[in-house]
Amino acid sequence: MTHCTRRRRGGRSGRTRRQLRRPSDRAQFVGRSSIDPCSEMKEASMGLRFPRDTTLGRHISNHLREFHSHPAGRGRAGVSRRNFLTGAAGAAGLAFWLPEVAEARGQGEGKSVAPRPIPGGVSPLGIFIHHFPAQLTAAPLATLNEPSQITDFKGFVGLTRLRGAGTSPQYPGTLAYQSDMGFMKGQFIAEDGNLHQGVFGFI
Amino acid sequence: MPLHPDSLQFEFNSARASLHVDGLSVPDAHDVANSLTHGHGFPSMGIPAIAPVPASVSFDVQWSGEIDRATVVNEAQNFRGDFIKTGSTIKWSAIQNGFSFESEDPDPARSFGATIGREQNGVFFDQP
Repeated sequence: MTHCTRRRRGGRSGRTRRQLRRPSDRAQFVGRSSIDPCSEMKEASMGLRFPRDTTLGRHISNHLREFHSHPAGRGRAGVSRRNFLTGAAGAAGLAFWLPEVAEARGQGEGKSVAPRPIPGGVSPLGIFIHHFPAQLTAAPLATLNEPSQITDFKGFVGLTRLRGAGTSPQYPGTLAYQSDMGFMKGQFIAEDGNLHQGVFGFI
Repeated sequence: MPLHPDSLQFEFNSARASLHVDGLSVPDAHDVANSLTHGHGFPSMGIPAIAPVPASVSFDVQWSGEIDRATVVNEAQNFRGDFIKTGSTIKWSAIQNGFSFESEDPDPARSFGATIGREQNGVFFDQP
């Protein structure tokens, strides 16, 4: 609840959604001369940018400053995107690899197209990761935790937890496993501040 | 991690989704503790440090069979959306130098939690 309360206090009190959607607040396309108005997803791939002198741009900027700057003493200090990517994967014993990130950094642009992590999460073995495990089948949806690991995100998500067994030619008998798998497909504001789209797996 | 768009099939109204990947290169961290600590282990729990090794995984995850659906607005975690609780199955395999593994056939009874949905969070939380 702290998250939402603080967000609303610092937000757009007194403004309506209609005001937020004034023409001057519309996102501007950078480096493109034509737009397909019928497809939000196409828009996302065209380098959509939110200037800070627009209401939505200020909204995004305020959000990023308030929830992703990680000042000391807030309990999330030191959780970088790298920690998010490798830490979140820890639930499955795997790690992330982002070719787009490596490419962007190689070009010296300084900011990557990597998605930003959600503020919340769990701490297996006392190590914080930006991920909530899939809700148990018996639990009501009203108590659902954030299924996405990406913040500033709009799209489709899925999570599941399964247990099972399998075999290996190198071992006799069966081997047990537990998996925590998921996906996110949609639009997101990346580290570079631009709107992107993509499909991501939580493995 | 980024995946090819064709790896995901999603039909919200039918309460179905599938995630299919073949031969994905990943580091095998051996166990959760070494993954979380980047190979440093967890000595206080008796888990030794083990460096990750290259591996390849393939998997087919299916979400289907609607159990419940609801609109959820979670202001504390700053997300909202329409979500469906479903059943799920997985079939997966892994290969690395000197080791391979293949899971049993997909079994819905092995699922103990599955949810799909369409949502918006963060700066999109208040958008219509």
